[in-house]
Amino acid sequence: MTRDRTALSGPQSGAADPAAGLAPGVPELRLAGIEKSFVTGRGAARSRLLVLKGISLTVQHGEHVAIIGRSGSGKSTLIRCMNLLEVPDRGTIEADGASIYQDRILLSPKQLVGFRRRVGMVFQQFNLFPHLTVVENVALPLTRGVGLAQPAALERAVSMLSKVGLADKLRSYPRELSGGQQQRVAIARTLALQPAVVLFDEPTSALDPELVGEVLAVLRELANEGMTMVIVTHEMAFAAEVSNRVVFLDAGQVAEEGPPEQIFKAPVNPRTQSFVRQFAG
Amino acid sequence: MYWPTLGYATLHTLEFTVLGLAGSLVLGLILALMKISQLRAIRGVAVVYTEILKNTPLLVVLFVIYFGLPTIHVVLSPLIAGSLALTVCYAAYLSEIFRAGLQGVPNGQREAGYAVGLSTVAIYWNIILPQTFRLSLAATGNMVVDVLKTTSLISAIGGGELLTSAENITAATFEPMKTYLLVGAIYFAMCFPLSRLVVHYESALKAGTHRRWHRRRVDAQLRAIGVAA
Repeated sequence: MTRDRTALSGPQSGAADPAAGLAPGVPELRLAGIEKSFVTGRGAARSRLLVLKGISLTVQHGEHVAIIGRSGSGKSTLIRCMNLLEVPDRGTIEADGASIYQDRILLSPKQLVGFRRRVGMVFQQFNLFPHLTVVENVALPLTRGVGLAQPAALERAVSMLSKVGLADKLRSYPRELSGGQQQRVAIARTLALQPAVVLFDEPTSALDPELVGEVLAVLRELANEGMTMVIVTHEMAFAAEVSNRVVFLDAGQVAEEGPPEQIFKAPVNPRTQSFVRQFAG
Repeated sequence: MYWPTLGYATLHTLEFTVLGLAGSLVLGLILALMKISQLRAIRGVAVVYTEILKNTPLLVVLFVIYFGLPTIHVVLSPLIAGSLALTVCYAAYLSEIFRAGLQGVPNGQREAGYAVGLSTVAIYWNIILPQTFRLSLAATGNMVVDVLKTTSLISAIGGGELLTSAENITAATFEPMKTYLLVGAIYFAMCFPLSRLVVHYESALKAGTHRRWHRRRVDAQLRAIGVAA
């Protein structure tokens, strides 16, 4: 059943786009012409809603890309396409020069698993496993996915949890933690897989305001370490501070894209202007 | 007295219960997984099966298996026939319980599993099914007790379990009141602790004290890598 359509490793011929200009080397992630629609309604009311209308986006190694936009602009759908939790209808995705997705042609399940380990994801709702302790949450993907032995997995889990400041919560269950702590566990769980890129889907949107800071502090530290990150966020100040590049999504299209100084201080597109003005208060 | 007879009959009752349960748990889980399949045909098979078996008396199913099948040259012992009848009938009920449990696990759990690079099988085995089990526990526990009580129907084919032996004893002693009350007490003595056990385990689940063994092992491993308890 496993059809080996494309190799996962090694750059393909023509992968290095000469038109990329500033691009230093092969991008970590490259999306081109991504389209995605959802079916809504049933029976006669059934219709297709086009959420992403041909999005192209490159994420270079070590880059921090912030994706901003109104609710319903397709931000979450876009970031979910980046690790194929959502399968696009059309377009291409390349990771480190290897083709991951091309017009409905998907990797084999085994390759998909390998790809997803390279591209980590942190969810808005944390999605910790409630029946496992904190340390087990982080260790499980290592033992049951990567195939590490339990002691090695626990060792890595403990060091990741220390990194996010939760070394004293190893034996707690997720329900015993605050939202901020749960999100930090989720970040540790993702980092334990040593991903090349981490995708953050509104990582602070489900948190009480007083807990946002501790999660942003962890993200800031990651950014300083040079981790390649894509962040969908409503925290504009944070996006301005941490990102190298801001992508403003509007109605399923990239309306404007550029360094944070441009997007937040001198946006060109009128839609970006009105969006940014709202946040400037 | 008839104590040895009743003792053996009790063992047979437990035998039917264990076999019937084991079979129906496995078949019920398979049916439940079929019901959440993406493929309509697979869902359909499971739904039709469930509706037919849920709406047919177990005694009739038992007669079809024990008296009907021999006409097409499938002859089963009372033990196999009885266990099979329990399996096919209770699988229908359990599949409904498990389906609700499976659907009760938030989709985010599955997505998180994929996002951390687990295979579908690993996700089900380590994430979805343990949570399904917790969600289904109370209802499943009631079914366990129900199966034990329902083994008495197998007396209709002379299955050799408690009620069969009670009938035999009554035929010999002409003391139906005493015998049936005694047998009823034996059923109760088995079922009551079982239902209490389910309740106890349920509250242990809620309190998070159910994984004592497992956690002790993880604790030992944590100490081994130098993390103080």
